[in-house]
Amino acid sequence: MKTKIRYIRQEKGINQQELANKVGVTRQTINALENSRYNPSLILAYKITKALNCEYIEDVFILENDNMNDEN
Amino acid sequence: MILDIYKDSLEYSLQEGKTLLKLGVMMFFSFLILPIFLVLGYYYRVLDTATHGMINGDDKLPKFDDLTSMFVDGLKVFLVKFIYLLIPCIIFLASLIIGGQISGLNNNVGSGVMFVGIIISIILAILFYFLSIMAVSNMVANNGSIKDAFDYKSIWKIISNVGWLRYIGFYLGLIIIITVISIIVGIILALIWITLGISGAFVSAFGLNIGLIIGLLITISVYLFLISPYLTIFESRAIGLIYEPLDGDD
Repeated sequence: MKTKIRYIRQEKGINQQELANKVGVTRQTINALENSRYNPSLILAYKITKALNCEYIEDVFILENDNMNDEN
Repeated sequence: MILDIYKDSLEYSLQEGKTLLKLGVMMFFSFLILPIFLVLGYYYRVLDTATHGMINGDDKLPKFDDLTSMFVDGLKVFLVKFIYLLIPCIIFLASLIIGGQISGLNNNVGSGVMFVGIIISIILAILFYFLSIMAVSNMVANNGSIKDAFDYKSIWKIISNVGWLRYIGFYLGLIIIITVISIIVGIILALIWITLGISGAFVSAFGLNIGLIIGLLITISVYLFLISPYLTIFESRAIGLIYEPLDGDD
């Protein structure tokens, strides 16, 4: 799963630690998410979306075609 | 996230029984020395998948093919670990030799030198052990370049990014999980063994308790062909997932 977290975060001038504190995870978790190394839970994805002031989870997280095919 | 890494690694290792058996066979023949490198080569492949993979993703177990390249990869892992642990070993031996020689002149000073040397080498052995784990991951993540296994600056930075305490805590957690699994499986197998032995259901005409022998064979087989490979894959997967590439900084 790819994300736009780094892009949105930098645009808003927030660093990884600040975002991590906002959503209650470690900085390493944010780093792993930004590097597509971590598939988050729905709750965490929602919290990050809200912390970045975005409306929809899809604004931040990109579900790739491969993932969607797996679900079918 | 660390709990997610453990969970992912526990599930990941269960994907394919056939692979566990193949790895178990290699482990069984490890006394012939050469298969050790194949086991390490598979460890390398699992690390490779993990360092490029995703926690809670759908990474597959690597294939057990191309044994030549697997052997070479295993050799690299061995070499890196060996060189890392060589330094504390040299300090340990040097402190014994120097301390021994000084003891000939002054016993108290000689013993002191030996004691300090041993303490320093133990501390260094622990430090270099943790460095060697990340060094192998860094090598694997950088297409197997041995140079990257000795890029101390990057390795130190990678561990600092993870956090030394977090990294050591994570590894202690791994050891606890491995111990708990081993104990639980051990208890189950011991119960089977005892039941087979005590029941006397398999006592041969010559009074030989075959149940005990069957139980022992089951215990050894399960440990060797299933549990050991499972725990090896579990450990390498988890180590690969804790690795953070440097380009992902703030």
